[in-house]
Amino acid sequence: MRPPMAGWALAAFLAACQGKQPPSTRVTGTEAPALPVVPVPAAAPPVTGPAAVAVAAAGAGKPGAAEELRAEEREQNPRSEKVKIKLFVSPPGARSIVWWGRRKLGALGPMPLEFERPRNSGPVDLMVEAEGYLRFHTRIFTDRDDKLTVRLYRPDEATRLIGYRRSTAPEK
Amino acid sequence: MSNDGPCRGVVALVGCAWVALACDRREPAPSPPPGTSPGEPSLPRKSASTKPPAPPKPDPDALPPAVDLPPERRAIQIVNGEERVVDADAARARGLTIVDLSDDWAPFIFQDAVAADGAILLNRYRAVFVGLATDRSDGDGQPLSPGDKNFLELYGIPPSLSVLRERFVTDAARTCEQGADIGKLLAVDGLDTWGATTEKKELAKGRQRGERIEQARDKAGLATLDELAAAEPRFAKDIKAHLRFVAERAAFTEVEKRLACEGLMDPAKHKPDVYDTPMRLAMLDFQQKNVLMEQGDIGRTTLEALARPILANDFAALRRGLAERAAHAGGFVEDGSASLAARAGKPPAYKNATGERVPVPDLVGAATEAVLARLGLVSPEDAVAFFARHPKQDFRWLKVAVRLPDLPEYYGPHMDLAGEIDRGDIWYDFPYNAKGERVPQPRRRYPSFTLYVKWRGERVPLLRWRTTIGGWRAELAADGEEYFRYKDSDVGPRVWRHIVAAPVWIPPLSSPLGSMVKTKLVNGANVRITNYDEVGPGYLSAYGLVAGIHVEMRKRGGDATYFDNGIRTHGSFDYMSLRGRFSHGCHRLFNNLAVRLYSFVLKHRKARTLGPMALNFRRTFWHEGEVFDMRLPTRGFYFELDPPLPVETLEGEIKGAVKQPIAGYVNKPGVTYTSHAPPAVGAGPESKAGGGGEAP
Repeated sequence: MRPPMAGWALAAFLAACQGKQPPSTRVTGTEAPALPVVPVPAAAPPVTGPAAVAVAAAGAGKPGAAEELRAEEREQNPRSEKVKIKLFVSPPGARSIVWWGRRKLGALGPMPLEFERPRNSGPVDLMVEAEGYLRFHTRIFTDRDDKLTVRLYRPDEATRLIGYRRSTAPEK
Repeated sequence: MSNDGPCRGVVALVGCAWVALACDRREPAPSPPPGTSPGEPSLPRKSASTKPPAPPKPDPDALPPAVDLPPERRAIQIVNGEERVVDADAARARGLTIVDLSDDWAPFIFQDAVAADGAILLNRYRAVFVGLATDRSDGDGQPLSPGDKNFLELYGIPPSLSVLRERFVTDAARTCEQGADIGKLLAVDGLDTWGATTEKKELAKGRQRGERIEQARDKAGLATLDELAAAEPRFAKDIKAHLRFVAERAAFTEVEKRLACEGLMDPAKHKPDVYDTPMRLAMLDFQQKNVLMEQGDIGRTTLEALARPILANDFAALRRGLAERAAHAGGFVEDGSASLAARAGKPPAYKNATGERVPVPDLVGAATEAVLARLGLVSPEDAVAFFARHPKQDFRWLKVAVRLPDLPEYYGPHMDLAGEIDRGDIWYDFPYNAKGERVPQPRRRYPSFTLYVKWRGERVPLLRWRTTIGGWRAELAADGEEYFRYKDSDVGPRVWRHIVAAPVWIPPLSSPLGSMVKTKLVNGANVRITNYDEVGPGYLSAYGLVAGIHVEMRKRGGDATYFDNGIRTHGSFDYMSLRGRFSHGCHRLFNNLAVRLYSFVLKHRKARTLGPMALNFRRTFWHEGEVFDMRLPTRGFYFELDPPLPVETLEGEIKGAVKQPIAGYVNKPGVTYTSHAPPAVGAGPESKAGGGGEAP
């Protein structure tokens, strides 16, 4: 693995001379081990706020406001070998496929996707695809049990998102 | 290209023992291990000799060999040249310190803790730190690809001893170094390097010049170029340039040979005599591996490191690694940097019980030497022998029992510590004139961080390191345009109340979104993912591996309230910025030194471990037609100092005409703005750390 400082130096060289992608983006990974995917019926938790607004402003305070600290919710068994992951989608009617790299993890819809991972085995970067919605990239953590709702956006809702730029948006 | 080594000139106030150790400036251990003659430090210990063995020197710290101990109670010692396993508990009872050499080691600030109610407070970054140090995983905690290495010492993560073992074992078997021509490597002060297109032109130009001169020499009927230069002075300049070119190309060939020999470059993928991508990557690896701050440039420091035997560089890495272990085991922070900084003045000293002035010792250096001596490590050959007798699995438990230097009198469970940041020379003036030309703003004094202990009515400096302060930076404003803004570092008394291990930085909305997405190989597919590098937690976080939060303490009656203006003294991956660049207002330190500093503070001040603090931040954003989610469940692992530790930022010396920082955005020269006037500036604490644009 090469840290970005090295990547930047090389990037400057490459950008100036060869026009190639800098290696700061060249991060390696490995094949995933077998992953049991167990969809179980459950009610979806409420979606966390409209994404167009930075959700959970805790910590992003104004000058002068010393941060208010809140301890993390304690785990029942912080030394467990595995952690439990639960993924929901909103709207629940969206027929979604969850990808982990090249691997299809399963379908997501009215039923959440539930699986286990070895504790501290690194984050799981997922992509959720659903017809009529923009692709959604998110990350699941394995240093604790994790539960997440993915709120999908239709192309016409993209204008509400931070960073939206009409001119460069590909047709969907 | 810079030839300034990290230990030269004023920049030497970077003054870290870490860098100093890299310069190999230390003398051999004052008390070499028994059996080693001071005049023959590198002789193998078991060499055949006709002389009768010298009687063993008395070793008051030697413990009797112990057998059948569980791993947690085992430590080793070299006694009279022989290694033995001793009882770690007995060693502690004797006043010795157990220095952890195991692969599972992590600095104090990354240790798990137990809450008052007995619950475990997990320090989540610990597993990642250990994975990085042992070359088992990447910054995300995911397994490294076979053959990949983490060279992260410059980023605050020293390689574990099993990683160093692999280096020694592999490098000791190499024979390719015999073909190296050190004279050619050191015949130049540095090599000019260029991008691919320019390199082609420059090399062609150099060769054509050589042919031209040779033709002139032939034509003049002279034997040497020196004769030509004397006979026809108009060629003198070209001849000088040509000779340098020839020397540089010869050195370049030696660099290629060395990188290939060291296993960092595959010659089959490299085009000879060209500084191509495989060679540049190999050079970056070499520099990261040997803590050389030249970033692909081939300056004198790099050439000198290339000229050293590979095992000598490995030994320097081992020394640096043991320095971290020793400093943390002893709870030391004095590294000689305060003396180095005071070279022109009086070396720092403290008053002892009898009123004598005693110099502040270099405890990190002395502890390192003590560990090396107790392990019998004087030379690279000793290290090869050490690693030969310890297979990789030994580093699951290996520890050494050693007597570390005596603590100075000012040490105690709650030391009267205080931090001070001197901003050095300050320029508030806008750095461009009306024509849009850059205006020089020279600085003689650079910002420094000093940790003091108050002792017997005096402030005694324990360390002095280079740091950063804010300055003019480019920033994306709310109108989507980029402006310049002076990002000031607060002046005045503040306190550190909270120290955060593996802190998380929330990028302000002004952060460019392009850098928030990167490509990563995930399960065999190159996919775009949210880039958490700068956000953390991790060694690349804008707040580094650890941060102390500057807050203004206001007291009303008996109650104190705290105000945060976003300033932190934190570790930084951007080690080059510590050589004179500006931050967004925070005070950066090298990551390993920040880790050492805060571990020291927590060991020598009254503090509570708060553990992992929740953040539950989430930001969803659009990038090139897709939606990306940034999730930050945690702020980091918190400690609370009680009472807080005072830290004051001095104003420094204001240069130039402007005596107050310019508030608000200033248009960048040469940019046409669509807005009539710049918008109001953002003011979140996060704007004082990373993100945003580069300095003008």
